[in-house]
Amino acid sequence: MSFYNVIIFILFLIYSLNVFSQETLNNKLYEKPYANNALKSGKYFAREETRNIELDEFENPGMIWVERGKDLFNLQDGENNSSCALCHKGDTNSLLGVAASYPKVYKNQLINLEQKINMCRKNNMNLPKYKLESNNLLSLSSFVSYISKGVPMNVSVAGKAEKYFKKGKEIFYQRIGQMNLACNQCHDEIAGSYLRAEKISQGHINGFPSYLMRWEGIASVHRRFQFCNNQARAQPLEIGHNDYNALQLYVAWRGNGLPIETPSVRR
Amino acid sequence: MYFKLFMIILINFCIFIYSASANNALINYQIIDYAIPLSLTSVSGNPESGQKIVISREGNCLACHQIPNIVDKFQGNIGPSLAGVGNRYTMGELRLRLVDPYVINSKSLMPAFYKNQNLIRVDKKYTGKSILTAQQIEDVISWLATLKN
Repeated sequence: MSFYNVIIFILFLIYSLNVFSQETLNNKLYEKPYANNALKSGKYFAREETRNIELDEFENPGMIWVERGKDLFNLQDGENNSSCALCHKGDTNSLLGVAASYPKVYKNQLINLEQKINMCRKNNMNLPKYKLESNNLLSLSSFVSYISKGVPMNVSVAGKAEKYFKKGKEIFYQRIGQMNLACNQCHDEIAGSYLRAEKISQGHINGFPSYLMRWEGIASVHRRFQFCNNQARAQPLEIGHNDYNALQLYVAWRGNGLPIETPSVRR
Repeated sequence: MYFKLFMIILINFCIFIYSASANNALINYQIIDYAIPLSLTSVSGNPESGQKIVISREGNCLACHQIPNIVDKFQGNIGPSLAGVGNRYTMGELRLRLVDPYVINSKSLMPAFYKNQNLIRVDKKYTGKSILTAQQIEDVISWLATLKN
């Protein structure tokens, strides 16, 4: 064996070790706190009376937003007299499963369903964007999510989405606020325990937009994040913030497989 | 060149002044054998106001702990029950557990109630403030010390 052979052998060894460690790192990156058969939707942790309101569509107050969203979907508006229904062929089945894939990378930017609806309005319908968290926007996103009710969450974290996924995971594990708490400390480790009167959930978002009794209205995932931040006495980010989208992607991914339950009802 | 040096010194000075002033807000304490044996204040703790802090949103202890002495249906069960906590720990040990529980368990969910630094993204309302004041800490532990089986 010549001297060069030895060198090449060593270089190859270093290279393969590198690949190996990279792989184990990636395995860790995609490690989920809950196995698929251990995933529990938020309704499992809600009180029985709250759960019953959610399950009865006549009683579920979130359905008001869904109904209004349906009207807005069909509403012809603006100079072009355009409506969502015209493009989507009045056939809401064409949108079946779409909500389950958001947040998603669109033109190198991670966007959620609400932002996608606004892009559609601006770029395809020549209509002004809705204000984030406005009644109209949440009504539409509730309706579009409701179309996919029962479809398992299925966001992609591969390719261009990977860097947002990593960022979201980092945020999930970062202790913040005067209370110095990270999302994982409650939602990965002690789900099912009581925080005062409330049972801590696994922190899934398959029921969003969700009707929150405390606000007597529908709220987006981002608004719920703000509320969590407030509880930890951390500075909330604004709704639509890139970091919230990254966090939403990570949280959606760790609940991939849970069926969409929009509109869920929570206290 | 000199300008850069000057700027670095200036920034350092500002950071020094800032951290010194922030430090001044809280009283220095010494940890000995996983306890803070000396009181944070000269006024001894008042158990009655301590109990009020425990129950109220200020201390919010019931969010995570069960306290059998208090009549309240909704008590959390994240942390250990505080029944007989006065038997299990000395005043100094209780004081450390409130002031900085991370000394005992770095992964603790319980916040440090007497800490105002090295925290991330703190809400402006609470920046530079600890959850409880030194006197409130003394009041709370004086009440906890009365919890005996």
